[in-house]
Amino acid sequence: MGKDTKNVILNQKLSQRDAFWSEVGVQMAHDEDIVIVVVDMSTPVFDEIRVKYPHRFINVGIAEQNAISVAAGLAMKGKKVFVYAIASFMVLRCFEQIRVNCSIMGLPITIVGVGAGFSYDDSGPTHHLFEDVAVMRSLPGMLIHSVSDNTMSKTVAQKSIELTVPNYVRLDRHITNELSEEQFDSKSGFRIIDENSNQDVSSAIITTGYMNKVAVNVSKEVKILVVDVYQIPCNIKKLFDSLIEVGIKKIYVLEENFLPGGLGSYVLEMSNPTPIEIELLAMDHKWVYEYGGREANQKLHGIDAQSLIRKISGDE
Amino acid sequence: MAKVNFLEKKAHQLRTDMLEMCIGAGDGHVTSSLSCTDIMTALFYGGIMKHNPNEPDLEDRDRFILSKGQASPMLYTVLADRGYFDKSEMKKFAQSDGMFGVHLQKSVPGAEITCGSLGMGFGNAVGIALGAKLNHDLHLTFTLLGDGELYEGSIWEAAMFASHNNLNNLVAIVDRNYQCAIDFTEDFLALESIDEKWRSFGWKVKRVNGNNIEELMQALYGLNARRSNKPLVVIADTIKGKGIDHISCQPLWHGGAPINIEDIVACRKDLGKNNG
Repeated sequence: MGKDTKNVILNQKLSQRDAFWSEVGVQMAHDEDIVIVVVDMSTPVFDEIRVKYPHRFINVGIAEQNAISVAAGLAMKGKKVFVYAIASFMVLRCFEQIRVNCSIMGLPITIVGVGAGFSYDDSGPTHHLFEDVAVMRSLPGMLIHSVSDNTMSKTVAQKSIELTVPNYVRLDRHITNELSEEQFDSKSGFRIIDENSNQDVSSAIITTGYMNKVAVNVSKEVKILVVDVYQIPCNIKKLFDSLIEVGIKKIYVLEENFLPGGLGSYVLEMSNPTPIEIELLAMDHKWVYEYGGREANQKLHGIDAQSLIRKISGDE
Repeated sequence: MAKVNFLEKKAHQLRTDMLEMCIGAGDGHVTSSLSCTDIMTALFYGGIMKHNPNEPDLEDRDRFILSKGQASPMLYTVLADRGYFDKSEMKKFAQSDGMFGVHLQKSVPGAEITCGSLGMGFGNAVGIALGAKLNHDLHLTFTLLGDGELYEGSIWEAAMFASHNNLNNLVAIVDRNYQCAIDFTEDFLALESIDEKWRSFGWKVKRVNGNNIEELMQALYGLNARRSNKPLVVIADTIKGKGIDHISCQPLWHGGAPINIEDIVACRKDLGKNNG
């Protein structure tokens, strides 16, 4: 770990974005093939990278389609390409370019989007993103990394450099707490967050990204296990075997996404048949124009910690 | 410079081979392929492009990015004729035992990208040219666009980016056949003046008769010695369906091959009449 990266990760006031790009910056020092294509996006980390490596920091302007097309050409020349933009624009504005260049052609481009779910909480529905898991996982060969804390962010940055498949990294804009000491394992793609050393639990929350924070808060009030799915596809069989082994009878799949096609759909598609009861907890299927912060928005959809505690503990 | 007479004869042979391939399959964009035949002939047979069918993945080969992917029948014909794969594959065009279909497929030897949706291949070519600069590779990147593609905003995103980054190793050729799928470009949404548009985006512009081999060769000759930081675009005025009067300049022949016997006979007759 580079000194700068370590400092970034230890500083909890920094974001997943900073942890990710700090690590990429460290790797750029000894891997001349790493290239960053940005859609007019900045971070404090980039201020250093763009000075150190001006030819490998490429700003295409506000042009997401061109970002992917150019990234594809660079990848065809052997470059290890990261593309970065606000997630809602990165995934949806140029979805066809992603489909053709990344999925159909199989080019190993890492698409990094910041702003999963309600990350841009008060920016309105153009900046919210509740469909990315659904659309990206619909593409054959596309790997999704849904980052839940800074250590995970750094690890995903490292792994992305060596990947030979297209890769979508969804980052949150908000600060997230460190969740687990458990090492990133691309063969399983999930980790169990044992926040309170829960014993004799009979239910679990499977979630991803920022919602781990909400789920962990729930687990402080209700005896429940939290499972962080940080990679899609993940090893669902292993996940269910692990839960059955500890006596889980019910699973809540929690996400800050629309229900169709999201994490809950993925779990249901992959888990059948299973003796475990599954309930999906997601956004209402409507756009959100209410403001007042992320928790307020979540509350409107019943996916904030307090609403979940009431629901799971049977108060509702 | 390769002899023009030889290239003209080669272009006629390629048109004939492509037509028969599409007749055999009952599919393929014949008129789109015919308009750019002379362009591909100049590139692949005229000594313009550095390529080697025996080593299709050679790193210093010039790249040919077919952005108008619907002209893949002509590219497949060229690649087969140059020996990238066996010509017998052409009889399997769009068949269950074949290796390629109507649009461009990266897995075919000599094809650099998969392409069917317009406005994308050009951006790929820009990225390749930039990658070549970063790698200090000396090869050129050629890309062939349809004029209908110029309606895609992504083309202009890439054009602006290419000139800003001084990609003088990039050569775009616009197959200006004046037609889209259902109408003539200047009738439904005028593209002219194309020259001025590209020039205003920072490109060096040449305009030629794209069905005249001699003019094409003059426009494309000596590119490695070009003294300019600007990328080059050659606007090649062509006729959609060139060589077969029966289907040329008729928008509704955009996406099809002749399938009934009257059309097949008429196409073969026209092509024979217009030999070289």
